[in-house]
Amino acid sequence: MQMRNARTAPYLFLAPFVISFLIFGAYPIVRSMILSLYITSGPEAQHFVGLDNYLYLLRDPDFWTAFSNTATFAAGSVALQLPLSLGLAILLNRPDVRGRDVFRFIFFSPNLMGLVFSALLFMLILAPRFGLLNASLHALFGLPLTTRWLSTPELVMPALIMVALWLYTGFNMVYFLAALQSVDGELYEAATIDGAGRWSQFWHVTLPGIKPVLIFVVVLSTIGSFQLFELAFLLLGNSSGPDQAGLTIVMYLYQNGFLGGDLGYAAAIGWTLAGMVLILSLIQLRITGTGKEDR
Amino acid sequence: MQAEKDDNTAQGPLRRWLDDMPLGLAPLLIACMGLIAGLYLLVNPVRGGHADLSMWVFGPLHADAYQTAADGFAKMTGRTVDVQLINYNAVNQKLRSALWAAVNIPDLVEIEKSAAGGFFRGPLDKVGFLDLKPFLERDGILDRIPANALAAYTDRGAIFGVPHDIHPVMLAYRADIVDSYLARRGLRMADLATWDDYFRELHDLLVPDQRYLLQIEYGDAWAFQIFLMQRGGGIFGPRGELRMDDEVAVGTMTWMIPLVAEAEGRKVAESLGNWDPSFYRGFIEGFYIAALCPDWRTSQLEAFAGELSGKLRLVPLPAPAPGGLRTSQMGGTMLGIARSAKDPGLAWQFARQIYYGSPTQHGRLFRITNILTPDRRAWGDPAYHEARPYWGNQVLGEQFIALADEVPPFYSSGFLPVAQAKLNEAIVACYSQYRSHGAEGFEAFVRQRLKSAADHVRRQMQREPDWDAGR
Repeated sequence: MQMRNARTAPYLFLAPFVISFLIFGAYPIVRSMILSLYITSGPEAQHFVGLDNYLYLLRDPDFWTAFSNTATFAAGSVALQLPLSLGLAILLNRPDVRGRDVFRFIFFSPNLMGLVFSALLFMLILAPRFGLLNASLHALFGLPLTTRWLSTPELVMPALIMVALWLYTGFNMVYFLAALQSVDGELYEAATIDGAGRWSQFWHVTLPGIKPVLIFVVVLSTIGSFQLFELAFLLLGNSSGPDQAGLTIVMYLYQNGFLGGDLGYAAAIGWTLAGMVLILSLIQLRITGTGKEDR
Repeated sequence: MQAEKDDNTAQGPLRRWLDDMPLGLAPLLIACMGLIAGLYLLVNPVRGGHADLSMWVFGPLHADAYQTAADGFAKMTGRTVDVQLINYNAVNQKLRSALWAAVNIPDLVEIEKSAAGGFFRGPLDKVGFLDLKPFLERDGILDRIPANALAAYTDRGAIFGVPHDIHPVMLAYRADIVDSYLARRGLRMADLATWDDYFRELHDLLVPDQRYLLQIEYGDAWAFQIFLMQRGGGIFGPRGELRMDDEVAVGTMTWMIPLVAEAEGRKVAESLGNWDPSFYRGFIEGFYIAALCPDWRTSQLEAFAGELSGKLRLVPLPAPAPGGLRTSQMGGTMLGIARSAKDPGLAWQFARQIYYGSPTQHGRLFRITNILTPDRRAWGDPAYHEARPYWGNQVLGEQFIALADEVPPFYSSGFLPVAQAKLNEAIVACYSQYRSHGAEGFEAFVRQRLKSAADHVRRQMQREPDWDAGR
């Protein structure tokens, strides 16, 4: 009896999660996959099209616009964010920096604000003629006051990347700070004795020491960037911006599913995005050699 | 070991069972709490209110007004209405999810005009809304509202929503700058009957980089649509056909783009944004002296540009050509009754009360929102005939009423979002083309660009199954 209880107990405790996952996780996943094979307009108006949604997607220039925008955002924000976050973390990890706790809080604090608030704030900062950014650029470099950051197609993506930098640099900094603090200090002492300079120490001690976290942050930031929606949607006034310059893949999914009413096509977009993120993550892990050292 | 076992035996089977729990007592307690909560909910399921009718609205002012009306409705009929205020974007998503899951569908719901078409796709008898035409005919309401007001909510002959508004577009201008200038030239604003007149007579007020004659945001399709409808065009036609590349659209684009894309000195229109605080700041500082102004925008100006009190006036839009239309249309809200409504008759009774009920109630709302109801019967209410100090004592209601029957129709479609997006791309491309190449070959470029945008939308539309075939 006791043995049987011991054997069944784990299953009993797992059951709530497993049941919830099956209902709220697995079923929607399977259902959305099936849905992606239909043109839909409500549960009773579904028209089976097989893989046509996916084939159409490949020829859909809007999807590729969305993909290009999203990839640009991901590349731009990850490429700028990570070095900045790491640099800040290294700086604020030094014991000789006075008030470093305050600085850590300041850099992290944008993340404490809601995305909606941040978007509203930046709508004001980026406003032409009266915005803080234009006023500063005008005062410092004599640039025109009327630069329209959110309504000039070429400037929309830089503006989004800039806001994302403000939002997430401090957040990633915290990951790097935690990683830096776990690097064994003796390694630095040994490296110093061996005559290694600061750059050499960074390259041969710090980077290998924080590599798992670095890879984690890169993968997570890339995935997060590919899921960009709210920030662009709010900043661009519930639209994809001028010339669709702010159209992201998730925004395109939203437009088709929730504005256009075709959840089938939206599901196909969602699955394509999932596939892209998966492939990208695998490539990143492959390049960085993650997993090999575990074997 | 033996002693421990003896001890367990002495403590009884419950204690032994508890001790045998592999992860201790805490998970058991959590499981028990979950079980108790689950059983409680099973016996007392949470209901979306106990009201006889449920209604979703996205406008806070609407919610307040309907709640008051619901209280009156309850006193009159003994039936209650649960009015829920839901964010503008959320209401569409929530409604779509509700219709898909057939769960928690409101009996009545307000939807913004541009989103409405997405809900009318699919077989006619499977659209989530009731055809309200029989109700409107039965109660003689069709005769009380301007016919064009229904266009956006009519699909394949069925009327899936009743209009809350008409939204005539007028021109709001800085009277403190313009009137004295025109007076010196022996003119009045009312004399400027066409856009050509407007830009010609006011041209000397133009100060490059300091003051422009009209606010036009080329980065979105908002102004273009206003001009397009004023010229009798539209993105879609009455049978859902795409019209965004017809000759009216080509003419509108060829006319509008130079206003914003000419070189500095000849450019007459500019913008600092359509929706953000910069728009109001630009108007206050005289960066532009006029703006396209649907009725709802007048209340926003009152709220966000208080400094302009007494300085602004409204006039009908200058026409595209002599004798042309002096207004256009922008925005709108419909009220629909869900096909799944528990009591469609009761839902219609409440809808009729709030949309086509007491003129006093409409008047009260007009004083706050400046939005003209399409119900002619309400136009006699004193609120529509009051002078407004903010507008230099102009009688806004009468101005809107004078234009109400001329407001052009707006036709909805499930493909409106994609058409608007493609139109937006075309506008930006035409702007860039004009900036770099000027007028030479511009019309041909506009024609080609609009056609390629429309072809893209048509390709999407062609994928749509013929839902009603064989029915």
